[in-house]
Amino acid sequence: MSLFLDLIVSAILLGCTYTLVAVGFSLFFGVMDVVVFCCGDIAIFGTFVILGTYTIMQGTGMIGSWPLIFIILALLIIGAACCAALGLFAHRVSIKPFEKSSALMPLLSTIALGTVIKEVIGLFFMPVTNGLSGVFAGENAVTVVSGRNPQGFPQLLSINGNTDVRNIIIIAVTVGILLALFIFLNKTKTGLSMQAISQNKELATMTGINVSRSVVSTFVIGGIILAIGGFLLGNYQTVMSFDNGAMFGVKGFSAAVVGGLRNTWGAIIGGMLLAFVETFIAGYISNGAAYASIVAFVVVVGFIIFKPEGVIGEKTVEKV
Amino acid sequence: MKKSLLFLLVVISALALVFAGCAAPAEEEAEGDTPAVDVVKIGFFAPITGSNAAEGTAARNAFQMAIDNVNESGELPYQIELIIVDDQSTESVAVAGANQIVADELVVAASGFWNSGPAAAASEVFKEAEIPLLIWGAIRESLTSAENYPYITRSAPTDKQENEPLAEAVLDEMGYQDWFIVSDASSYGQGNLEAFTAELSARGITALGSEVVLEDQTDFSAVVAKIRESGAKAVYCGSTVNIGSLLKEQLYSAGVTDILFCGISGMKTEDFFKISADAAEGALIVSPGIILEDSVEGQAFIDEYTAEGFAEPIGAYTPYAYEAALILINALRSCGDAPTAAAMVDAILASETTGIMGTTTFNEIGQTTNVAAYLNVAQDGAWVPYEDSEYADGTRAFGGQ
Amino acid sequence: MSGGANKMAKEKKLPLENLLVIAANIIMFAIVYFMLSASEMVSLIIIAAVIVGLLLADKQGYINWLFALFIRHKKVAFISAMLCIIALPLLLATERYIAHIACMAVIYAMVCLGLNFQMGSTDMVNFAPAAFMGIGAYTMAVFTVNMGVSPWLGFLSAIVFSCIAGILIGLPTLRTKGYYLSLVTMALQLAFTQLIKNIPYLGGPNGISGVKSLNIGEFFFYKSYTVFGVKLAPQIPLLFLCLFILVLMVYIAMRVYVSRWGLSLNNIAQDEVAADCLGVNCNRQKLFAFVIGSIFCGIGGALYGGLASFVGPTDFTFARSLIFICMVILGGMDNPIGTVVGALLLTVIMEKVRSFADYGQIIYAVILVTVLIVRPAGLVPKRVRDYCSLFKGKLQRSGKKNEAAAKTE
Repeated sequence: MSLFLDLIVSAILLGCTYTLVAVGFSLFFGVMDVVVFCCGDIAIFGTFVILGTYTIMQGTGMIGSWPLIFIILALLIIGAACCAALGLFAHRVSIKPFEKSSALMPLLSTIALGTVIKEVIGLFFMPVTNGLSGVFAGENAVTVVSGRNPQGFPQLLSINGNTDVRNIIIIAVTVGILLALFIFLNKTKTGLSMQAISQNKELATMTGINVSRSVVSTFVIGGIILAIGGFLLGNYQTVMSFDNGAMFGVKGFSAAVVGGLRNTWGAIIGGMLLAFVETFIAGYISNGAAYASIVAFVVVVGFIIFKPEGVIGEKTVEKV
Repeated sequence: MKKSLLFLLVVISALALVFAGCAAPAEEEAEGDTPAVDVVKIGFFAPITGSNAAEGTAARNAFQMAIDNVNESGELPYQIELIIVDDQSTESVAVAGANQIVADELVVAASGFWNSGPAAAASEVFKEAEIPLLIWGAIRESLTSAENYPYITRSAPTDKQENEPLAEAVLDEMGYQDWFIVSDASSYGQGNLEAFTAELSARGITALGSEVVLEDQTDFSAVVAKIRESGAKAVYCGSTVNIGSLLKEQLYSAGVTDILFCGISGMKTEDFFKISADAAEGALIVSPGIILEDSVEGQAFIDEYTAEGFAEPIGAYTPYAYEAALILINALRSCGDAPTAAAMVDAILASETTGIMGTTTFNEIGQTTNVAAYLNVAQDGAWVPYEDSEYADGTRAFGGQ
Repeated sequence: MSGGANKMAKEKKLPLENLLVIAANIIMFAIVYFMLSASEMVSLIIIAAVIVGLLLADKQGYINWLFALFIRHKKVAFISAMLCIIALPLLLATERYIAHIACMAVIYAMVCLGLNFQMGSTDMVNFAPAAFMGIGAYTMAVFTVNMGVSPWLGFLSAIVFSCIAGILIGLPTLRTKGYYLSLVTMALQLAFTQLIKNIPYLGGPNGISGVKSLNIGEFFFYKSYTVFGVKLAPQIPLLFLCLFILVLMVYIAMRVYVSRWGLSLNNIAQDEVAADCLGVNCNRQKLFAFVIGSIFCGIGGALYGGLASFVGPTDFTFARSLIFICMVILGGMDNPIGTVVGALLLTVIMEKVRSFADYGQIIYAVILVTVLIVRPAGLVPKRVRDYCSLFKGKLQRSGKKNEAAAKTE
């Protein structure tokens, strides 16, 4: 029974992180009609920015002297700002140039950009880590941690090594963000115009909605969500690796597809479904970890083939 | 049309002549070399980039250091040149690199490989080219075999030889009975899984559970849950530092602390301590070779390596790379003024080299007879030889006892 | 009579154009040879010069002119190109390292040609060319090592199995398109690597070593032979075989391109609904693109298995698939020649910058983004189908025949 409960908790936590990336995917897809495949890498980039900032803070002695909540907030704001900026950059170099061309071009270019982001982290993260690992390992450890190795992530959410608090915070923050997103999308003018664009771009332009401004705000919102998702993932996994982004992105995209691209709420169900499938396969089947992602992909492929509109999406009929 | 065809033939043959002219001098040069040589080349493989870069680069440093020493001493009548190939832990790159090395006519031997996959792939090329390859770091048992004899030799222990002393310590001496085995899906992980399972079944123990994880996996919550559920008293992790440290950390943060965590040399790097010292505490790792600090030659090697100021710390297999260079140099000594690959094949097999870790000779399938290993414990954020640790004298105790 | 004078003039003009064609072939061949065999720096400079040269040449319209020239003098172009291609392995006869790279480039070019049917012609981005290649390579390995039967049986089975895999993957694509299709292939690629690692019969993570290459009786395609006292590199016979197969594949790809089938693939890429309305059997055509593509990849994989004499899961990963995609885009989508050029350039770059392997992936990604933004058509862009000259040639030929008939009369 305890295995079952353990797995449920793991699945929900993993599902939370998948959900946030999936929501990012469907937000971007809704507004721009393209799959921004580097979502996962943007989130990981945010995580590494947070990690680096934390190290610098530690070096200046801020950690410990400032209240923890301020530090977490400051880290999140910096991470979110970087993610949003990177998102806008991604839009500039890998989406905007292909507005007129085939939809697969931005897919390829965002995958390539994701690789660039990943490799930049792997190549250049080194100097910051040296200080960090020294802090983690005690003073006499001479450590060379390359940016390509997994990095220990500061456990800011667990108090005295108690992970229950952390788990509750992760779930609460995810729910909070989704609620905030719901309010934003349905109650504010920017949010409503984003929805309008998602439903019909031409009509939205005609009614006077500034599409390019909405795109910018989408990336800002998406960047914030991705940064928080990355931060939660870092706390949940305790360790981050520079190449987590690609798999994270594929999982997030799969979750978004299962939920029905364009449908923000479907993304939640998709993320949870994927996380539950993976965790329970890994938990109940011997050597299941190797098969977990295979089964998850089979589920996704099944959805694509038999129910491409997603769990709660509406079937669209192609108009000629 | 006929006219043009004739013309075409003329042009092509002219072209062929030009190219033949270009190629000819190079051949002559190569032929003129046989009687006495100024330079002898040795190939060297290591993963200098990629996720195993730290181990590979340290090995490269040590190997280069040994070769530089003998070149400077002027003991051999020729200079040894290294062709260093970064195998990137990838088979296809290793094969290309092996072709590059055997293509050079001055190459008499090669050494290399931290990963078993690239080693197996490149072995085919070396066998075909009849050039000896001395493996210093890849531990898959099948690499040295009757089929690969006499071209492929190995100075490092196999996965079986590495797991034996660990099994003796934790099964026979400490008496752990309830095991959970974790390994990764790489060939390294599979080899260790097989070797340790064999040790268990030789003692009539069946593991409570075993789990194969992915090499790039970072979330082990399901595995941790399984370990907790199984009630195991000890965890064996047959994998590299990336997985081992994460698993240890996540076991620790999930509160599964009353448990022995043991594993193999792939984890014995300083990278293990990128997780907090508290989480790392008490990990028991077997490491090949001898405790270098305890022998004069070993200490001299450490001093020299440190004096060179390399950025990469000495890894578990760095001494083996150094030892491999010593073995090759020793074999070169017995080959006279003009060593050839064919002579080196026999010279390596017949060699008896006393280096920093004792005397190495090779058995009938080219495997070293010099097998040694010792245990390390993670104590206060550093690897400490088990004998010297507070765990041996009873001050601290492993979990699960 | 005036017709006769015209003919005379034409024949006089012929040698010059023939000469040009031959010269072009020889120059291309020389560039390839030096690019392969030069040292790192020189080789990279040559590659940069080739890229700049191709871009400039295309801007001035020289590439199209050259294509037109080659088509006009098909026979001369073909024979001189064949002679050059035969000359390449001969020049590399003793250079086993260069010959190995050349083999790799040729095999990658085959895979890229296969991928081109899906990605270039039909605009279906297939993220699993490496998996298809892996199917071919593993089939070869299983047949020659695990079962110990003739490599030819393995080679034929590689074709059959990759064909079946192409159908299996092609079928779901009939119901999906765009992103969904890409995700299906991506999932296939990721699952393939995991699956291979978990099947003990296929060697698991250890792979299978000792894969045999093709042979004819006692003649082995991967073996060192001594000819006229010169010890040849073992890859040379295989390089001949690979080049022969590649030429065949390029020919098939070009024929498909100008045929009705190639046209319908392009039609689907442009607008599937319109294609359907025009009477194109979209399902059949898409399946065709997948099957022929995966057969090409499978053949490439089978040859690769023989070349490396080792197959392992790390050689057929998602990253490798991205490299193939990058090759096709760099060379030029939907142009067989461009695809081969892209494969050759990137293979050589990959090999020559091996000492900077840490930067390998970033180099690909930057090349990919740059090419996509600056020049989405690739180095050797897609050609406009020129049916006019084709028909003109036919008309002329039939005209000639009539003339001859008239003369005999």
